[in-house]
Amino acid sequence: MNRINLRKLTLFSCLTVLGLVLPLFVRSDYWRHVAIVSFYYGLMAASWSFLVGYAGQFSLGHVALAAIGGYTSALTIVRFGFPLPLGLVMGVFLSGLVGWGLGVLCLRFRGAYLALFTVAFAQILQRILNGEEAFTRGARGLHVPPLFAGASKIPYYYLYLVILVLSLVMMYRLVRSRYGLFFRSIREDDQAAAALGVNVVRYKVMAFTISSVFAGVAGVMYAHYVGILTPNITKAVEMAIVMSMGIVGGVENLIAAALSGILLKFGLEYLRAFGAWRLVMFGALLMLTLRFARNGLIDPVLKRIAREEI
Amino acid sequence: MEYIASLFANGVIMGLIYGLMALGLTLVFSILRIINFAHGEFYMLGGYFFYYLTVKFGLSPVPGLLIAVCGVFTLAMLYEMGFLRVLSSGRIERPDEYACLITFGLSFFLLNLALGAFGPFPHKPVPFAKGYTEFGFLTVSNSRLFAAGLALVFMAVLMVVIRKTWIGKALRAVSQNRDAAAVVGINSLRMNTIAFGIGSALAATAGALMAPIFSLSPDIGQLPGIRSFIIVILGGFGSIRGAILGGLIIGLVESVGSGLFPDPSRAVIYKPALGLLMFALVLLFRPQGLFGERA
Repeated sequence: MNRINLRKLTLFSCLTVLGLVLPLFVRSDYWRHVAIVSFYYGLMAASWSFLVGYAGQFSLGHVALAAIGGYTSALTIVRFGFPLPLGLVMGVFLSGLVGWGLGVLCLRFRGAYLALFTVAFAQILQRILNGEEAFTRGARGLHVPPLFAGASKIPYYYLYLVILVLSLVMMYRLVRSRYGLFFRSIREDDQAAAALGVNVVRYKVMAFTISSVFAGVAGVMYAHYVGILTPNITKAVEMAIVMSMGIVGGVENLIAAALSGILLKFGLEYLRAFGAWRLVMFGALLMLTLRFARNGLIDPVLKRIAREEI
Repeated sequence: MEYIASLFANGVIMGLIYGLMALGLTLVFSILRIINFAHGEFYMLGGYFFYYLTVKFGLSPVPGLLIAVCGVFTLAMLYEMGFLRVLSSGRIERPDEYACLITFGLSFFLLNLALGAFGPFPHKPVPFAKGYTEFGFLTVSNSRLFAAGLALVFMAVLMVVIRKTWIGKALRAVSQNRDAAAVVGINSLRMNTIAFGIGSALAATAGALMAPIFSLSPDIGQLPGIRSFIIVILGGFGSIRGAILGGLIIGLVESVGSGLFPDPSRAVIYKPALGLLMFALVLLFRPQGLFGERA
C-alpha cells in the first residue's frame, strides 16, 4: 500500500467539506442548479482525463457514452416501464458495455485514428437519436422521470456530490494501484509494456470500459436531474467543453480535472451575458493552456498546496 | 433516366469540390503528419470572407475568391507558426495527442468566433454566374458549373505547383524524408508552414465555391470537415489521386444515394450517417485506405 499523503488527503477532504457546506451559503436555486450540472461536467472531465491522461487513449466520443447512459435509463423507464432503479443500472451497464465494445474495436488505433473513429461514433449516435424520432423524440426532447419528488435542489445536490466524490475516490484508487502503473506504461510505450509482461489488450480495453462506466454514471445523473434529453448532448461542442475542462485542469490529475469541470461550468454561467464570446474565450483558454502549460492550470496549484514536486 | 443523369451531374460537380477540400487535408497530413480537425472551420472562414468581400465590399466574385483564399492562407500560416511549429521541436511529449487536441481546440474556437462575429443567421453570397446551361436533356445551373470549373482550375494549378516548381519539389522531398530534405538545404519548418497554409487555403476555396450554392452559417464547416476525413480515409492518407477519386465517389454516392432513397425525411438525416458508417468500416478493415498503399 502506498504511503498516504496527509496533505493531499486534507486538501481533498477540505474540498469535499466545502462542497457539503456550500448550499448553506448559496440560497439561490439558480446557482444550486448550476452546481448540480457542474458535478456532471466534473465527473465527465475526470473520467475523460482518466482515459486520456492515464491510459493514453485519446477519445472524442466521451459525450456519446454519457448520452447512451442517459438515454438508456430514460428509455427503459419511459418506453419499457422498468422501475426507476433498474433503469439507472441499465443506463450505466449499457454505457460500460458499449465502452467495452468500442475499446475492443479501437485496440488497433492510436492517436489521430482513435480520435477520428470516436468522432464518427458520436456523430452516428447523434444522427440515430435524431432520426428515430418515434422512439427517442429526437430534437423535441425526451422527458425523463425525476429521482426526487418536489422542486428542491438539495437532495440532488447532495446525492450528486456524493456520487462525484465516490467516483473520484474509486478512480484515484485505481490509478494509484498497480493497474494505474499498467495503464501508464501502456501510454508511454505499449510495446515496451508488452515486453515487460503487461497484458496490453486487456488493460487498454479495461481502461476504456471503466472510463465509459463513469461517463454513463454522469449521463444518467444529468438525464434524471435536468429531466429532458436531446441529442445535443452528443454534439462536438459539448465534447470540446468536456475536453477543455480536462485540459485546463490537467489530464494527469483526476481531482484537478473534476475541479476544473466544476469551476469552468460556473465560469461559463457567470459569463452568460457574453453569449457566443464566452465559448470563444473558452477555446482560446484551451489552446493557450495546451500550448504553454501542458500540465494544465489547476494541477500545479493543487500540487503546490500539497507540497508535491511539480 | 433524366433524373438519374442530373443526379450524376450534380454528384460529379459536388465531388470535384469535395475532392479539392480533401486534397488540402491530405496535403497537411503528408507534410506535417497530423490530422487537422479544424479543416472544416477553414472552409467556413473561406465562405464568410468571400461573402463579406463580395456582398459588403462589392468585389466581383473571382477577385473576391482570390482575396478570401489568401486571407485564410495567411491566417493558417500564422496559426501553424504559433501552435504547430512546436511539434517539430521534440519538446512535446505525445505529439499525436497534442496535434489532435490543438486543432480540435482551434475548430471549437473558430466555430464560436464565427457565431459571435457573424451571427447565427444564414447568409448567401452572390453567385458566380446566373442562368442555366442545357446539355441535351440535362440542365445545370451556371453557378454550379462555374464552381466546378474553378475547382478544376485550382486542382490543376496545385498539381503544376507540386510537380514543377521548386516549392512543390521541396514539399515532396519533405514528405518523403525530412532528414534527407534538410541535408540538401530545405528548411522543413518553413515547408510545414507553407503546407498548412496551402492545405487550409484549399479548404477555404471549397468553402467559397460552395457558399453561393448553399447558404452560410457558422456550423457550415462541420459536415464538410468530417466528409474530408471520410474521403481521405477512403483514398488513403497522403494520396493526391486518392483524394480526388474519393471526392468524386463520395459526391456521387451522396447525390445518387439520397436521390434514390425511398423515405426523403430520413434520407436527409441518415445521408451523412451512411458516409460515416462507411468511414468507420474502412478505418476498421482497411486503415491504409481503398487506394492507398500500406503506410
